[in-house]
Amino acid sequence: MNELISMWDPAFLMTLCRVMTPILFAALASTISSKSGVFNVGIEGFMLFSALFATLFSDRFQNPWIALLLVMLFGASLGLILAFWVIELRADPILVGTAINLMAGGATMFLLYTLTGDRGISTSLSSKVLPHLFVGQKNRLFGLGDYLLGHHVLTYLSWILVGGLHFFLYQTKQGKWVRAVGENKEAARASGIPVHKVQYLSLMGSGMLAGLGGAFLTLGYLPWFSREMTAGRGFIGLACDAMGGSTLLGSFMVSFVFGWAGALGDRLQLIKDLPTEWIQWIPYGVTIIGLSLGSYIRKKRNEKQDK
Amino acid sequence: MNNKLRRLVAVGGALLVTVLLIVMMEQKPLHALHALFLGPIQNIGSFRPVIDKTIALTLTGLAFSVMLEAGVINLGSEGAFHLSALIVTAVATGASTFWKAPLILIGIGAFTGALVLFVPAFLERLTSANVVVTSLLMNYIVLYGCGYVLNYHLKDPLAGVIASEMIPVESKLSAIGPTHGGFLIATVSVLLLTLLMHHTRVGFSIRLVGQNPTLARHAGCSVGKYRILSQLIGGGLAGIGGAVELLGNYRRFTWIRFLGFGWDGIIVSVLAHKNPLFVPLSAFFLSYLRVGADMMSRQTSISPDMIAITQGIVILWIVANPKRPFINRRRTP
Repeated sequence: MNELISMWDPAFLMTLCRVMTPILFAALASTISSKSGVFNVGIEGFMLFSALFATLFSDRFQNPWIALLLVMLFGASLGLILAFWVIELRADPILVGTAINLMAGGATMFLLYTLTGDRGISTSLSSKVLPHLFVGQKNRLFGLGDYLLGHHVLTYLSWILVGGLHFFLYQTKQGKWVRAVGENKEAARASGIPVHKVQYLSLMGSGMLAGLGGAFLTLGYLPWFSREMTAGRGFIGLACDAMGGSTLLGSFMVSFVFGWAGALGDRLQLIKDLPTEWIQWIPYGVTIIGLSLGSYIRKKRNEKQDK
Repeated sequence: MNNKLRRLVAVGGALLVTVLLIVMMEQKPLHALHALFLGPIQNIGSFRPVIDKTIALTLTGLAFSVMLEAGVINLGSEGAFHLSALIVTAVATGASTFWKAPLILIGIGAFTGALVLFVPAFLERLTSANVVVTSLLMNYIVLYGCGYVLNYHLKDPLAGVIASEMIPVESKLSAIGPTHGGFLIATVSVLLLTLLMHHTRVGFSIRLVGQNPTLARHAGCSVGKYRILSQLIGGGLAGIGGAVELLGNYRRFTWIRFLGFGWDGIIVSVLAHKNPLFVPLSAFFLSYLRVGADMMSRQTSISPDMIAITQGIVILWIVANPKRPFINRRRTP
């Protein structure tokens, strides 16, 4: 037990944030799309494509900031494709998302090989990465600086976005439109909300957030791209969103738990010989239970309201 | 445009894109195309993997088809496939002689697979937790759980790599010509499922629940019950797939990651338009393409991953049908 408490040193929190950031972006991407009434399973594939393109852009322009900007546009265009398929072509979003995911694994490898000649991992690229912020000022903030400062710039961006999106969804007119469309499309249309426009923009926003998550993997987490490097993070993001009940604070907390489990896994590997598989599967097990409990409570509450 | 024509156009279009890509990229495109399209039928040795993959893909394709017919998207087939193979290995290498008969092992596999898909299905019924999300989470629990069991309980220390003990000869599916007993099992599954879905009351109810849940409820079908039933059947089929793949093609259980047959079942089933009779055809198409791409990549500089694009185009083409949506999924009434 003492170990569990003394474990919370700055390095532990650093690892936690590294694990948590891409998951949080995925969770935010999922939140915005499910608020607008479309379940976006394609986030996993979006992230994988974006991770590849982030490293390609960064290598091409030798400037990670331009790469970040372009990847956001790229992610938005993936969201646009999904929206077009779902809205104009009336395809089931889950099948389209799955198709994108299935395509992403092979297509990224194919593109990487065709464009650079690398197989499996982008060794020939020299991509620049984005910086960590406030590294030199860790002694500030009344001793908390060690914990809160020095993280990756995209980690800070993800924190800001949690607040920003919360403000957008609950305090602005457009945000209310998004929620109205997700709750009841027909009613929203009847009250004059441009339903399709809202869904297009929400899915493009979702794609942009997934793009940021992918970009973190190659512009922050590691300086290269490798096969299937998202490793299910997009799916975990979906789970965080669902378990958090599509609230932003919920998404944040659940992705924090995943980050904690990841960091704990790293640490326990060093300390004792606890099977890594246990640490790997426990967060998923906890999420299933939490998700079911959360859904159950919401279901009961809705039933009560209907009476 | 009717469905069959749409599918032909989708496949044709995707193949055309593939051919164009190859022609653009390769200096000797004819050589590459020859390997892709004729490579698998050069000799019996290169054709064998096509049949092996077709068998597994047929079973996972059937699994997804039953669930799609009921309007359910449960993505747990990958986990069902994997866990079934692990449990089958554990029984085959550990239990007494009776349990080692292939048919009994396949039955155990079916039961295991059904169980894996039942958990998310049941959770949705009980708590209305989104089945897509919980089934995805189940896959990971299964993957890491299996990794643990393999590493700490089934590992053969003498094998040199991470692998179970040898699967006993009496458990293996016997060879039939260029293939193994799994061929018969897949064939029987296709026929039985066609019979079930299109000629029995249960099958009719499952399809009605998928097409029009409101009507189904007025007609007295329990929507939730048939949805769960479709997932049990689907899980069973995916489990049979895992068992057959293992007993037909492997000496030891060595899977430390997913083989991908569960996911590919989605492609197969969409391409077959959920119809069990067309599932083997689309499974054959997909595995032929895969094996062809492998052969092509060995002789040229084109990576076999290219096929992912072909597949992606096929699905995106088929599911986009504004006049008649591919499936009709509504919230549980």
